[in-house]
Amino acid sequence: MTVAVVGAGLTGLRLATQLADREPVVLVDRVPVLGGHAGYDDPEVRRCERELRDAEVTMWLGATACRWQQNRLLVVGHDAIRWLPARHLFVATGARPATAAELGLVGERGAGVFAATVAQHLLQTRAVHWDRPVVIGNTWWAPEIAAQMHAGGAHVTAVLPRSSESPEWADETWAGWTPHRVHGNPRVDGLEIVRDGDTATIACDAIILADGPHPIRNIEGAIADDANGVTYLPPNPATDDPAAIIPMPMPQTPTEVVPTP
Amino acid sequence: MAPGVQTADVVIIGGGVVGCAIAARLSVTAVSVVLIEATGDVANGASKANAGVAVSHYGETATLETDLVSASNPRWEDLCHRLDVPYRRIGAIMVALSDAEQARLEQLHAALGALDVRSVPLTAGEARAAEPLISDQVVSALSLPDEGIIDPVRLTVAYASLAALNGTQIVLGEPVVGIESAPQRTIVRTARRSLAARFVVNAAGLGTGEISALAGGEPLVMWPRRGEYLVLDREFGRRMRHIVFGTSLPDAKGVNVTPTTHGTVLVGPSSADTQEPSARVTHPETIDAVLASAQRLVPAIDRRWAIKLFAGSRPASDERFRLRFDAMVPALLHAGSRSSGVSTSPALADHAVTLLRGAGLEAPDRPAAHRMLKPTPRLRTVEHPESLLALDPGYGQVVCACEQVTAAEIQAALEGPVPARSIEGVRKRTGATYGRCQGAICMVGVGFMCANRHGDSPNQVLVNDGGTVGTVR
Repeated sequence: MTVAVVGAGLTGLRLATQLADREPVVLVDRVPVLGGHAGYDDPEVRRCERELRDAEVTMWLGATACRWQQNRLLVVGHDAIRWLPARHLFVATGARPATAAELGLVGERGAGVFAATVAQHLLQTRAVHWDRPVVIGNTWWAPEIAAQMHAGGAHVTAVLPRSSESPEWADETWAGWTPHRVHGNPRVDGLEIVRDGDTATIACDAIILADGPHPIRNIEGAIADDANGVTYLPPNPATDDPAAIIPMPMPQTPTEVVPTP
Repeated sequence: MAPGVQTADVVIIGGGVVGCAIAARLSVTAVSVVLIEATGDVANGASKANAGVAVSHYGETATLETDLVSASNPRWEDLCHRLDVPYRRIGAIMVALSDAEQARLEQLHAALGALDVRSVPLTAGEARAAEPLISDQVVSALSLPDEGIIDPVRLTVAYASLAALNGTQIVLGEPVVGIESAPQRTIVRTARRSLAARFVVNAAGLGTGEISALAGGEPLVMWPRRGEYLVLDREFGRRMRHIVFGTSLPDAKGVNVTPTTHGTVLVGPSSADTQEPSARVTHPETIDAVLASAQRLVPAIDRRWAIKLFAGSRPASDERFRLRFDAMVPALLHAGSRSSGVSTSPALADHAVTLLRGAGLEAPDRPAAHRMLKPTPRLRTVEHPESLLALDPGYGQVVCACEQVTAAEIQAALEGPVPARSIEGVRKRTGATYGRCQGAICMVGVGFMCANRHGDSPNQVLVNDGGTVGTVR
């Protein structure tokens, strides 16, 4: 019976090549190009693609896996919306930045707070401009976004809660400070940060969330650790052996949570 | 009549659930109606940020408010079916964790019986059998089977949409700056227009006092009562069957754990009167306290399931429910509620029309008026998703993967009778960007769709009411 692999980045591609020797595989990705974060021109991506084509693996690209229910995967694409029966679901959907809630960021809800992934796409269009952005965190999105903002003449400030370094991509760095509170409505105009009881406010016109990364997990029914017939794969695993892949650290399911005394 | 003055039988000030419900009700009569909302969208105040419960009771002695709650409650299934609004009568369990709370529940049960509101006492075992996630510290409980969950924003937008379909003019983004009473008519002014009306309905929520003052009416004092909430992931939400209410004691308001029609769970609210200009601010210590109170009811609640924190403000006043003419300005009808706006809205709108008719408004019902909205099928909830592509190719494009919102649904929100003007407007109507990644994947797509629809540059797309994506260079 078929296995479904969602995510055609390096992790999903490698897994699909190995599974394809044993059973029918359907590889699904939201984006209509293989490679994910690694990019299509990555030699390993191209090697995997050749193997998958040779093995005649089915690829549904530009299609979104939405729901896992009784060993069926709901896949939504331009050509069809269909239920794929599958023995097992492997989820390799990559990572996203931490959200404001995950950072514990409180305060006003002004416009101008964006996930780094959003900022990245907006900047790529060159249709969007910020003068004094603050970037929270130093994941791989941060340098790329900072470079594009610099090209637009911006002054880029970094806030790095768990670091003492000043990265090259920032004009100004607040290392060891924790982002705390957003100011400004209807647009953001400041980010309050704290360290050891001290408080400072950075004037800004955008707050880019580039901390984390957290796993993207959005296939309904395949989210909890104990979801039936599901294996999560972390982005960029240290090993190519799917048997050795360690599941992502996920929130425990509510039934397993020990009541707090 | 002065040039440039438009006439209407009724001008409604305020695009919250109360104003929009009255507009919808008046729109099926023969009168002409204009609804004026100060902000850029309907449902931008308390109607946007509340727990989404259509309650079966609110208060324990018979008042106009409790009558309207009771009259509205049996109508939800039919109304929400006609207006394409998510509603489920899932029932609530009110939990007692101490002898004092148990005594309070017994008292409430007796009072609700006198009001003909259904409630059933439960033992601790029965409560936990009905809702396994309830704390094992529960002493007893009260089942309230007629409590329901509703999408309060979709309800408000639907009321406004029905009104618009029936010819009501919906004016957005224009604060009322002047109201002048003249014989037989009242002139309502914004910066851009003047409207001469026979009656003015003041449904301005937190702005009720200001509108009354502009009209020379009674001094009505309103203040924001902030409630802070956490939103928990659907993965937690699917494990809950009922609303779980804490028991309120005189010195402590209970916190609630409320499944939503989005599938998530709301934990809250805190309750604090505030003079802060922006009452939609969250505070870490308040959120911690809300979480701790909720965990006493449902210990499995864990902060790690929180996908979003938010604060809303209810319009508090010394008069908790107000549906009456002004004592000084006879053509001014005040309509507002501290907390029961959603739950009273169907019957409140009927009663408002009765009052207006009693004051001389000729408003015969029009049998030919629209009473239904064309439903927009939703990928996440439709029974047979595989059939959607035949309706519209836009269903083949999932924009928000967390909430399973497609391009077809977003386009419908951008083109509806009361269209979304901002990314937040799309979120309110579809749920897009509201999920566990909070728009990290889809906000760009939603923004571009807004830009294309409204002819804005991607930089100047509105995120919320007045705040743009980018800064003007």
